[in-house]
Amino acid sequence: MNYTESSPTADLRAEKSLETSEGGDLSLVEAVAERTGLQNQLYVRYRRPLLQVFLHRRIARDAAEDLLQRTFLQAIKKIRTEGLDDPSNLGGYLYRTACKLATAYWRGELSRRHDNDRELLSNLKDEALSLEERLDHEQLAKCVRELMVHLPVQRDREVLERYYLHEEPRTVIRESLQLTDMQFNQVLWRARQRFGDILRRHGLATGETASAQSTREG
Amino acid sequence: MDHIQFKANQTAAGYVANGLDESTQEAFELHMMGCSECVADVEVWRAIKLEMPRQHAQVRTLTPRRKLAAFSDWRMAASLVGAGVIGATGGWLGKATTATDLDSTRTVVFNLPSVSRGADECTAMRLASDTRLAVLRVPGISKDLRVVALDSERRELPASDYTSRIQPDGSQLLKIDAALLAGRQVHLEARRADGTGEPLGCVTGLLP
Repeated sequence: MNYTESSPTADLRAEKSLETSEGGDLSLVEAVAERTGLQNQLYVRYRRPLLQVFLHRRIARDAAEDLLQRTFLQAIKKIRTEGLDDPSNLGGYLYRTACKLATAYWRGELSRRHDNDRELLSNLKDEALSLEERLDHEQLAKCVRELMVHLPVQRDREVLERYYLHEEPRTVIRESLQLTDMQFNQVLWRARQRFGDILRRHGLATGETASAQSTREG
Repeated sequence: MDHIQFKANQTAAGYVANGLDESTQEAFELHMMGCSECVADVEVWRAIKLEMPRQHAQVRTLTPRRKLAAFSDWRMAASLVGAGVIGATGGWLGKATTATDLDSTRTVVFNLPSVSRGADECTAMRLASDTRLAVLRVPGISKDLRVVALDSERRELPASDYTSRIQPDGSQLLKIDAALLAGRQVHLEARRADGTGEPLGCVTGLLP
């Protein structure tokens, strides 16, 4: 099933209003129920956060793609048959569905399909793609290397390495480096901002990094 | 917790580092469903984590590394299939007054991961006709909390019906008579010393 067929112009206009409306989930549920082109927004809006939910549960990207499809299919089926108990909380429903599918996956209760539709992925709008899917892997790796080399303070490098490579708890890192909670957060904040700068310098600015910059400058 | 707090606490960074407690993780993931900025932060931190060059890993530190880090790639899978659970529970069960044969179908071992907690419906455990004992592992519970089992009317089951024990890895193990689970709902709750608690979910036994 492909949720990404191009929408008519009228739908595109409506999508814009859908994104900004307070009752976005409600409108989206209606669109799915009525099978209008707006239902594509379901994918645009929720694919990226749901993908992170699966990746966080150590599910490989291919399998995560499969589970994403299952999540959306299950939601669409539910909306079109029984309806949701709380249509204004579509995100919550999708989240819980994804969590249950992740659990079922690790219990081996799902058949491994992995029949990912590459065409579907290439047809997705940019805003539905994660950072890793939008950028070339080599470029991303180069940017991270640059970040690590150019962090001005050795201590900042140590924090990142211990936090992400060795998965040490932040309290342990803080205590050994005698950092307050706020100082620890500042290290992370500086690294995040610097990485955004590096991405931009390499012409890899995304909507989010640009927005982060404007926030910082504002 | 709102968006500003998540940003101020660098929650996205902590999420990718697996450094959030259960409730914060759930709150943050739910928040992500409607916050593209936080999703973007998570993607950036995940990219940094995945692409971080290994040669930078030679940092000397004053404290020992967390031992679990080496197992991080497979620990969730291993815990969920229950193999690790059987090993972890073996010592405890071996000391039980009633000897338990873990190789037999009389014992069912079940992991209750955080991702399934708080779900609307009960998680079903398949029981064999001769299953006598169910061992539930509940990971990620603070040590000052005690996991208790409640009946469908949320009354605590008698102490004689089940036992609970804290594992060295922070998880808690519950040993429950399988007959109490068959066709019934048993709710689990993490209870504080003052008697207040938070629900962990519900399990039920399915007989063939």
